[in-house]
Amino acid sequence: MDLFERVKTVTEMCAVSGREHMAFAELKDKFGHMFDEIFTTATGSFVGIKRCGKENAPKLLFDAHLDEIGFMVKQICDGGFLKVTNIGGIDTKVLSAAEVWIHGKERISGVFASVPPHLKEGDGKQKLLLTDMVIDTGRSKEYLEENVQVGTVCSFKATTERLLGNHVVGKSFDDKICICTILGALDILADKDINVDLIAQFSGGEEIGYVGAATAGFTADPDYAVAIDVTNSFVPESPKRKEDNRLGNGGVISFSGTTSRPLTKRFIKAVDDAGIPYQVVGEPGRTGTNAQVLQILRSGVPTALISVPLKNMHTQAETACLDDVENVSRALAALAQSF
Amino acid sequence: MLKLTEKLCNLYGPSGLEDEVRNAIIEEISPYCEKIYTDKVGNLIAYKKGKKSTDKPLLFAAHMDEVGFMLQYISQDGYLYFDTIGGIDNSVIGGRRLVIGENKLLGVVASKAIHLQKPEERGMCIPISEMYIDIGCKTKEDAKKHVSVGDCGVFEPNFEEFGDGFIKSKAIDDRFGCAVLCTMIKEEREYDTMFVFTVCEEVGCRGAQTAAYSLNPECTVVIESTTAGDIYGVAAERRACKVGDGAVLTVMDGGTVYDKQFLDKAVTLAKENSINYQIKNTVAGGNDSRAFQTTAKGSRVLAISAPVRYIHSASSVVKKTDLEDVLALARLVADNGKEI
Repeated sequence: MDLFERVKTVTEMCAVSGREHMAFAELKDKFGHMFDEIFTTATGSFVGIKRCGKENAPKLLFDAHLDEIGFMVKQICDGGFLKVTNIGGIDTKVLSAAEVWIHGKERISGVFASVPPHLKEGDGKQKLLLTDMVIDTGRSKEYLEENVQVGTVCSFKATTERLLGNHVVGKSFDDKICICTILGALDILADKDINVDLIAQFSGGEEIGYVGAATAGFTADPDYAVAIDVTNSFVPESPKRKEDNRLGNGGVISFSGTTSRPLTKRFIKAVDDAGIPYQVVGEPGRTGTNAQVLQILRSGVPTALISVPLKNMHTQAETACLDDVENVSRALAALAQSF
Repeated sequence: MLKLTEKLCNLYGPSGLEDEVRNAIIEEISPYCEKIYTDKVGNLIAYKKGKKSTDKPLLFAAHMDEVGFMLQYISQDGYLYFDTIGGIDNSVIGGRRLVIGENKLLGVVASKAIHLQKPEERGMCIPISEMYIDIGCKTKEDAKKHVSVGDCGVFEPNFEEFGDGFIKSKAIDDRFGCAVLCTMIKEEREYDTMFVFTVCEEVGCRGAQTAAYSLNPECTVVIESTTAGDIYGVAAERRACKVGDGAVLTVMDGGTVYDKQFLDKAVTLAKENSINYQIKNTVAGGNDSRAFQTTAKGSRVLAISAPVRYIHSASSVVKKTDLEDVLALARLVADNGKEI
């Protein structure tokens, strides 16, 4: 499976926050063979362990979250329409005409209705609020009442495709494309003699408050951890301080208030020594990633954060560069080999 | 007809660049026409011999073009700024995928990301002038190797069957009408009939105007797609029409008051033959009828339309039974049209 095929396979899986088990079987089927041991948790995480074969080897955990933003049905309406609420942060201004999967008893497709211009009230400058929007399913209310219920989850329906310059576009690159960075690191390390046991943690519930990383991380009990997430790249509307963080320049290693500076420095040295492209960013806050919970697991775990730069985050047209995915894999492998 | 509708919907054909659609239609109908030619502005005109000849053949019209986008500026960062070809509501553009230019490059429409929006900007539609297309190029030089100012785009082809008997696609307006005309041409017709596949409807019914002058029809039937506002929460009197209720006949829209006798005839034919039909209940929109009605000596006009939700978006939704009703009524009008 080449990198594009792998990214397509992983990112087209649906795993809305809190319902990550939707993707467990396929993950196990496609990638289970890469691990010595696999376990899943009650809080939506899929964890694979790859041992180095050495006694008392330290455990290095790589975390990427499996869950994605989505919607939850809150009302089945007349005429085959559904009212939904958001799971995670959604940009409502790109929802009109967007397609979704509705994960009822049967998986069916739907389209966010757009109000025809002649029906818009006032000057058309009203906010597009999710409370005013509906999903058109093209089904009868009877069918929907049989197959969908209040609480049924929905996810974006979008294929993953190539753009120019080794760029790709699709849904839920946040954060499934980072699962591919971990798989890529495991590929690189497959025939290498290393001194750490690797834990690949595809955690649940990140978008709804870092639920899975905290609990799966507790079980896995690592000695070191690296969170791999996406970060907003520079776009024309970005502030000046983001100007250097761009797609194609490598993984973005974060100096933050909630990560370990010694581990981050070790990470940067390993990446530098291996001649792998990377970028750095200073994030004084909590980073909005699993890094913040991994660092305070049990009695504390030195944690670093590396991110794949991304455009159009939390839309069905997230855009990333496969060069960055590859370079993050190489960076993670370099860190693992530094122990 | 469904297969043909799918094929035509997935083609690339913004106003002024209808070649791909025209070529596909020529291939489809050539063996069934007495005469077929492309006029000076790009309209495709076909004459069909009927069982009976007539000196005043009916004209059936559908437009080949679809709404789209035209590139206006390539930024230093390699982003493509654009404006729309035809009317596309701002709210359905952001986040969509487009195919651009002759090489059919994939691009996505981006605009100010949510993390950069001020609270008062959240949920607000962004003006087209602040949206841009990302094709994966990082510099102006790189982008210029692939696209040029003036290149056009359309929504990414995405035809699929949907729900209970629905279709979801871009460009149902009016490739569906083209499919109806093709189907009618392939069948035996009672009378000699003229058909025109027009260009540039979406930018002001320009093809229809020259076709009307050249063909000088006595009566014209426009096969179209029209906005169905039957979405949840919209009052019945504001819906215009409703999917599933059959072919839409229009008394008046934003451009035309339709011919009374012709309309009455269509209603009678629908009733006598148990074809589902509905009368559009708003005065809005417009189509090639206006051009046919007002060009040269003028023509009696009738529009038979399919009710389409989310028209002019990437995900228009139409019901298959409505398409069948439009085809059935169009056939009846064609084969009884002499008696208007």
